[in-house]
Amino acid sequence: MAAGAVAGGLGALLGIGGGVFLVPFLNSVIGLPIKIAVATSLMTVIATSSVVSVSSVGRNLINLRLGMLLEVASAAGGVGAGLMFHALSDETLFLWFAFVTGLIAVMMLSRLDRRNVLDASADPGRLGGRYYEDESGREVVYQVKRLPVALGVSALAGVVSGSLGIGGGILKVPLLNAWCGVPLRAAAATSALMIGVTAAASAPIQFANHYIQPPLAAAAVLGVLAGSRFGLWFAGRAKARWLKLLLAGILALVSVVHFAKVL
Amino acid sequence: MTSPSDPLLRLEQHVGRLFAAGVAVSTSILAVGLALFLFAPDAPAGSRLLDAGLLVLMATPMLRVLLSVVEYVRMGDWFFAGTTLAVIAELSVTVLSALRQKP
Repeated sequence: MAAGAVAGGLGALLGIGGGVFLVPFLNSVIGLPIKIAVATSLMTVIATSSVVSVSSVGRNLINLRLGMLLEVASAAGGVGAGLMFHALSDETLFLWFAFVTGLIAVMMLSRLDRRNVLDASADPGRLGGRYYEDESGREVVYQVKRLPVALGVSALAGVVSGSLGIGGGILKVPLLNAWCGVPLRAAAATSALMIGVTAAASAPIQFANHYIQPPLAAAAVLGVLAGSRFGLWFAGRAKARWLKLLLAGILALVSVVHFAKVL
Repeated sequence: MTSPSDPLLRLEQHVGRLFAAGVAVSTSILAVGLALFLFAPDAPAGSRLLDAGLLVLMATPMLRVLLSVVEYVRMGDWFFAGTTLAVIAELSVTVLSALRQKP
């Protein structure tokens, strides 16, 4: 439960779900098989998604239209990964995990200081949005650019979610931010909404295949929910640049550890 | 709470209430189930409650998608109603294949 709490806190900071921290913890520290760790983590991803979404409601941060459109791609990826999960080897999963976390760490570090904010009078278009940002005390308006890229990344995020149990927001948030013009907080809130459905697109298959151990999953879910409350409280007060640096550092470490495991 | 005139905002509030209810129900069931399991690991009630809690947890985002399709149809927003239906179709593939695997 303590692991769940820490993972939930860190995960809630960027709307990524706590899985990227929980999976290596359950696998490397507690010693559970990687597939059990992944499936357990997937349940906490669903719980995190629901809780973070409740807290974002009413602040215009969640982009419901963009989210629903991207969910078509991410749920497809989730279904595909869910169906393939049983056939994947542990070594494949380790390599894939190391590759994905390393890639994201590099990507985040390279885009540390980018902002995607238009003038408050700009037209956000059908898919864009606007919200009030506490940090700067002004209204933020944005348009969505490169929609096909966002769809492709969402599909990949769905595959990552179903195969690695890490939500997939960790891929979408930096890419929606860096390439598609969605500000970090709106990308995080929209992604947090999406990861629930994305995870639910593969979780039932893993449940039926007995990769989810109910007592363990229950403890992890309750722990992550306790931790994500702290994460949300903290995220409202921290600077975006600082959050990115913290996350990139942890990801780089997770990646190196998993490469070392296979080699 | 007043009903907002912007239909997207109304959808967001419905979604928020659904998530809050789903989380409250599933975590209560999971907490009771986990406590039962820890005190009496062999009793069937604990594991049944744990299964039920996890099912409610998985069903919550699925219900959100169902709720969205109703709202988009009410708004007459056919593009997003169709988008939502596509997600529902994908989720049914998962649910059906999970049901087939369950002994």
